[in-house]
Amino acid sequence: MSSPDQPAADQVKERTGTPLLEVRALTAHHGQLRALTDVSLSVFPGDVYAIIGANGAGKSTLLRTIAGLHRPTTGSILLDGADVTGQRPERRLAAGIAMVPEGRRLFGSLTVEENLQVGSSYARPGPWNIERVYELFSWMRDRRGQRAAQLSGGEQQSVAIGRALVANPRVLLLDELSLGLAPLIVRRIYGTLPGLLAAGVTVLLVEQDVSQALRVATRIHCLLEGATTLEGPPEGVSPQRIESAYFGLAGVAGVAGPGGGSPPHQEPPS
Amino acid sequence: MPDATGAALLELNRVSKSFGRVVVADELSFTVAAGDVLGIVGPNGAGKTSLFGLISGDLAPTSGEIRFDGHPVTRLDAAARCRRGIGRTYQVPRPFGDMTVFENVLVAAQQGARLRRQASYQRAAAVLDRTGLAREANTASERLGLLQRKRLEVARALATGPRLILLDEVAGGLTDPEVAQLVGIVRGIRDEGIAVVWIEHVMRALTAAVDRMICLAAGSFVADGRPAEVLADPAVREVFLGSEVTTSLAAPGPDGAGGG
Amino acid sequence: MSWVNAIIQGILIGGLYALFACGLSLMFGVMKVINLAHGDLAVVAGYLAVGVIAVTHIPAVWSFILVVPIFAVAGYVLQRTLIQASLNRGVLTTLLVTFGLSVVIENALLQFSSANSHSLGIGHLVSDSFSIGPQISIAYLLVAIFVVAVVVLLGLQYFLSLSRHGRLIRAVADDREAAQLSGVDYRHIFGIAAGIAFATVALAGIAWGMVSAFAPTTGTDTLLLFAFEAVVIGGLGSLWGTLAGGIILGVAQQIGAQINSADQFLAGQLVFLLLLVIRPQGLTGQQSTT
Repeated sequence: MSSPDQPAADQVKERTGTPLLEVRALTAHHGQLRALTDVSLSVFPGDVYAIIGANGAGKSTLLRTIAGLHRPTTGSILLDGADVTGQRPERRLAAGIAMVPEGRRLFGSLTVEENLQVGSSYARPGPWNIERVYELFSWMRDRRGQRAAQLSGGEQQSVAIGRALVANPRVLLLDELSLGLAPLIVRRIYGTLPGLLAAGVTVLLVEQDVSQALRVATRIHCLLEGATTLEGPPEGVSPQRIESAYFGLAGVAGVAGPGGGSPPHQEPPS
Repeated sequence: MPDATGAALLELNRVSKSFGRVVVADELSFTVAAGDVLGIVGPNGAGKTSLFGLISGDLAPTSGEIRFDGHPVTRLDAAARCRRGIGRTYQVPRPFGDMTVFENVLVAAQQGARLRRQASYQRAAAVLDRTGLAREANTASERLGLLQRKRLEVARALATGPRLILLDEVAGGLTDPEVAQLVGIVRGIRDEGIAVVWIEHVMRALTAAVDRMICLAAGSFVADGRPAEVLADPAVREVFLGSEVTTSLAAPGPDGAGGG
Repeated sequence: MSWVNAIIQGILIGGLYALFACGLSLMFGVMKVINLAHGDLAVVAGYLAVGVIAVTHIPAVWSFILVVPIFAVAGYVLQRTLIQASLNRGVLTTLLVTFGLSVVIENALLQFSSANSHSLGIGHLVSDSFSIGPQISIAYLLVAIFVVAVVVLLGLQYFLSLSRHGRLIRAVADDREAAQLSGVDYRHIFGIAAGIAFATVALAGIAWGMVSAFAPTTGTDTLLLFAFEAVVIGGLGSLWGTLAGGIILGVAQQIGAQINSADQFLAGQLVFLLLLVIRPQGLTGQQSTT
């Protein structure tokens, strides 16, 4: 087998019922550059759905489009069956989609607690509040008066997660949690995931470190240059398939020339 | 490490760069010879664009020395290095929008290569031919499509008459046939004796064009060699795929495959 | 007049300058809008006060009770409509729009009123003063205006630090997108910030009308310049910096007047230029990290 597997349509429809979050045939551009081509996925309650892929693959664009910060060219996004594609990010938060953006993006001049207070300003009713976040991250309560810009990267990441959690989302989007953080800190932060799932939060995450993603994911989706090269449960996927889906090459031992192992979005020459 | 194909054109000697506590380049040393085509890969935040900045003069190193064609250039700014022969494209193509394609390239020929009128016109026309833009010469550059913009980026760099050209992620967003055309242009550049250093995420573009690949991660080189070797190197796999996947790849699988 | 008197006058008038400046600073700090019509809005407030007084016959000193709320609402509406639309098109467009607004306001005022200057007649209150020693004479009005300015700045500081909407304003100013992700409609927050800015500049305009006079072009001739200079000297991002900036400007002007009464404003500009050269981020500003 010399080319990465096409995502089989039947594989995607394996899981029955209405997905909590569904993306249908999403195509998105950055100016003239096409960042996403015809991407579809379904996230079910209780999932840890991980999107992996190299840089420029479109992972963050996908998440930002789901959160409402980026308008897609075509395609739709559905939350519990309802179309949210045209909704502004504020409305999506009210509907139940919260995102922890890439690079944390805390309100630097505000304190830790003020960051959480902003996060709960438009919160939905639910089990999460500022107190519960302090229980989840035990160090935070003592530092809650400190300005967010003075925290370390790992601490900021925890506050950013807390800020999204207090809104009581149904789907939590995590964009590149591990970026710029030491491996130990990354593991510790990912260690909080089970606590989130137990409290009824479904997780859709983008992760650059493939092994880290595989450790926590219940479902894997690999993007290459904006198109899907792999989708399915992590148990069924061999490391070789992951590698070829990630790099888009026809197996590394025999590195092919141009046209070998290309992603499935071939277009006729213009 | 493969033998250099000629005399060393670009030498980096223990070049380091930090922004406060963040180290983006950690004692990097390598050479590029005339005629080399070198690809640089690495994950997000590895320091690839910073490395280009250090070579092209957009960034001043914290320590270390850079020599071009035998002369030290560490203290020179980007414009001076351009005139010495280091050309560069930028990740996001930014042409002079309301000027035509020809005018864009002409500016590069006159300012970068310091050519006088006749010579600059000839250079501009020649470069447009080589990059396949001859038909768009009189189009306003802001009206170009994506592939054409990338060609224009390369054309502008070529018009400065470089001996070494730095390509920064030019293949992003291109379809397969477009990538093939781009690879053709790069091969043409190499055939003229210009050394090429190319940062890229689109692996298949690199593997088709380069004979040497370096992997950069967290400001340090992790591998340096032929593309097939580098991509199979466990250290490189670990950088992209993480430790567990790398270990699984190295272990013999149930069907005897794996390793390599 | 003595030097001490000049300095005291400068400090007191500096409070008024700070009141002018805080609205400009707020709009830039929160939504990165440089409102070139800022000074003209103060003049409009003055004219509106004159009109309100003529219609309702309330004493001039209380005219702000009606004018300030009207301006607060006008600020919110103008921000949600005109300025938001221009923001969506880019920074340069917004600059042009506020510039155009300034031109429109001045010409409208010239149409409806004459080019003559007006002031808010408050009778003897203008010159009532008390003395400290033989050389120092301080007008009650100036002290009152200074106190009002400090109270407003204090109130604004508390609002931003402690209230829920103050927090949202600071959050939106820090990172608009991240605020959106937390459910904040930033356009509404921008509107509130503009409403506050318009309210403070209206108050400042009315105060100016009491101590001095305004004409249709006073906005760009004088008031915008003073507000700008006070903000730059004091540094963006701190209301106390703005107060310090206003005071330094006022003192520089009064000292300049002592030296040569024609050079009053020149002295202020020179201090401003000096600050730009030696410390462009202002007294309290931080150097931008590139």
